[in-house]
Amino acid sequence: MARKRKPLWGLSTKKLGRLPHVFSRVLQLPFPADTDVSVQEAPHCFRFVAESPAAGQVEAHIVEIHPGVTKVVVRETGSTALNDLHLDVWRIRLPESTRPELATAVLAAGELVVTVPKTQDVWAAVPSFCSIATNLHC
Amino acid sequence: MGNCNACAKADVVEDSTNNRNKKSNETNRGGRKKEQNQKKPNPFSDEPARSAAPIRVLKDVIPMSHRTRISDKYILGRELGRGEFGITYLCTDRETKEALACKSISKRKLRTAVDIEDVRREVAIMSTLPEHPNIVKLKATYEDNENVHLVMELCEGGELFDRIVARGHYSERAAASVARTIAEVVRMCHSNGVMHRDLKPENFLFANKKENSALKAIDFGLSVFFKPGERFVEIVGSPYYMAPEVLKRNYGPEVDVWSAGVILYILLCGVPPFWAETEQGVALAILRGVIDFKREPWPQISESAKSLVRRMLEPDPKKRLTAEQVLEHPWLQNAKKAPNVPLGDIVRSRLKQFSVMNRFKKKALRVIAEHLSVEEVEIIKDMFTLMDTDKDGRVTFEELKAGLRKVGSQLAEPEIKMLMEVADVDGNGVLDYGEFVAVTIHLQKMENDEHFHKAFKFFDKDGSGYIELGELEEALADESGETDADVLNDIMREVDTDKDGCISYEEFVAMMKTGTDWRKASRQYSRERFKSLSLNLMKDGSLQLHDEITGQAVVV
Repeated sequence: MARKRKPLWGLSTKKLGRLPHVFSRVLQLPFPADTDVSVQEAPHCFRFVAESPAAGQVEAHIVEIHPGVTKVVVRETGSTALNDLHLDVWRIRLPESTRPELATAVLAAGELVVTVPKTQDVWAAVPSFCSIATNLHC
Repeated sequence: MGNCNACAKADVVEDSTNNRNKKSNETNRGGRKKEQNQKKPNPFSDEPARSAAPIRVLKDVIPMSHRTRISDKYILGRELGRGEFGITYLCTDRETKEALACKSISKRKLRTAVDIEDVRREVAIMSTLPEHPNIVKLKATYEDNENVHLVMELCEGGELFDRIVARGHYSERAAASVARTIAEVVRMCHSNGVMHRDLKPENFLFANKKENSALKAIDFGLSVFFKPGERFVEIVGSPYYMAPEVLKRNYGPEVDVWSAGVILYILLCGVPPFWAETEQGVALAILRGVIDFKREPWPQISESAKSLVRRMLEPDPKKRLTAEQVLEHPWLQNAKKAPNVPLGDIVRSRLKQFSVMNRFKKKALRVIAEHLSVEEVEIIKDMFTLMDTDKDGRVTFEELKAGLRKVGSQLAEPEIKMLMEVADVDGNGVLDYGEFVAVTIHLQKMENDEHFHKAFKFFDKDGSGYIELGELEEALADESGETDADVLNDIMREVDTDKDGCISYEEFVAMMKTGTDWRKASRQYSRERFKSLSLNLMKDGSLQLHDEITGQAVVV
């Protein structure tokens, strides 16, 4: 049967809980909320850097909650903490100028580095468009 | 390539943050430069130089006295609460000794221009709103190198959220009182050109611990000024409470009425109207907009209350009630006439009634149990043994609770209590083996007519095809030694739907199925699933199970 499964002897598990805010772009890192994360802005991207005890590989998982609502969840590869809705998790609302779906995460020398490109990266890939924009700015 | 960088230059916004972790009680900062370093980043570098000075958040919002610090006027005390952006401390005025609350927002949390703008706007909005008994008052603001401090009036009664969770749900009269306050807050905000955008039970505090305490809105961190007709596209809010048009990126102040409607639904029944396990699921539920008025306790709630909820949760913002119209709705206008019976009591009353009727039903379930195959009996016996940790032949409430946890049940404690009460036929506070078997069979949703026939024949001693009052009395006397005449009459009244003075087979089957979520399942299929469940339990007591044959427990 294709019927949805239910827990043994389970009544409805609907419960009132505290949940983090919804924004159109969110980045979530696998650290407690109070972790010291360096937020750096460069011309083409935002970079988030933190010391990380993780030993394995990491990946940036893109969750489209709804068209226009994107969450980047950085987690160790293999972890299933995709729908983690705890409040005590490091989270930041990403600016509108970012492209969260292109975020990348690397782990090197005890540091987690997450890079989220800005929209300009798309322009940068089209040199002719960029040269036109140059003329407009002159 | 250099030209490409030049194209991006116009969009570079420097928002460096102070990453140092200096202690807040450090003194002697006289030598520090107050002005922010305005040096522009090297356009050819991927690493813009960090500003040496901390950011200034409030400079354009509140004129700042150069030398005034929060500790000059206030003593910060113990922590009262903690949010996403700040910690709230007890705060005492040095001169007047007045107790206040200070929300300290760490600049380490203000990582982008958007975060900074939110704090500025929060202060501007709270400074703009006129004094109102249901909106927390902002008394003063301060900024130092580490924090922005908002000094507000103190609310010592805790969150509305905590009271809802503690009560389960509110009576209609109490819910109407809270709803009126929330609608009044929305009306006041909107008439002053402020859209809150984050109304939820966590953002309302009681002034004191009394039952009839004043309720105050706090946290305007996501609020925004608006002009009539202005449309917004930014997606901000909280799951459960967010209006569908926010997700569609085209909204106005009507979103606050939707959020208030969600809160009202929660007040009356304890859980959100649009709920799912994931954020994606919640978003879909909001957009689908289906409101469940069938689950308990909604059948006991007045049509007027449901009417108000429906019209506040109207998916079309143009047709949704305004805050003014909510306040004019008959249910709020006549709030003092609303039923003041706590709905939990109604549920309890129905449970008691159900329990009384169910004595007959449980006897029938025991009779069915006696006809189970040896294999089926042994599986149930194994479960009983698993739960009966002290091996005294009885299952206590604590053992039942621990056992259900062991098999991965998600039943909450009030629901386990309800199950215990229903299953404990003789009311001695524990489940004996027979009672356990009866409730387990009940929960298995067996729908094999053969079982019903055998049970019916057990009661129909004279084979007349009907269960008479005398036969019912005789059957139930086995359990309690003596059966109250009122109980017998209550059962007969409940089950004998055609009022001919005896129970037909059809009435018997209808009783057995009433209040349960029967689902078709083959005998073999159920047995194999149940057997597999039990065998896995024996191997690994901590196994989390999601089994097709199980369904809802007792529905009152």
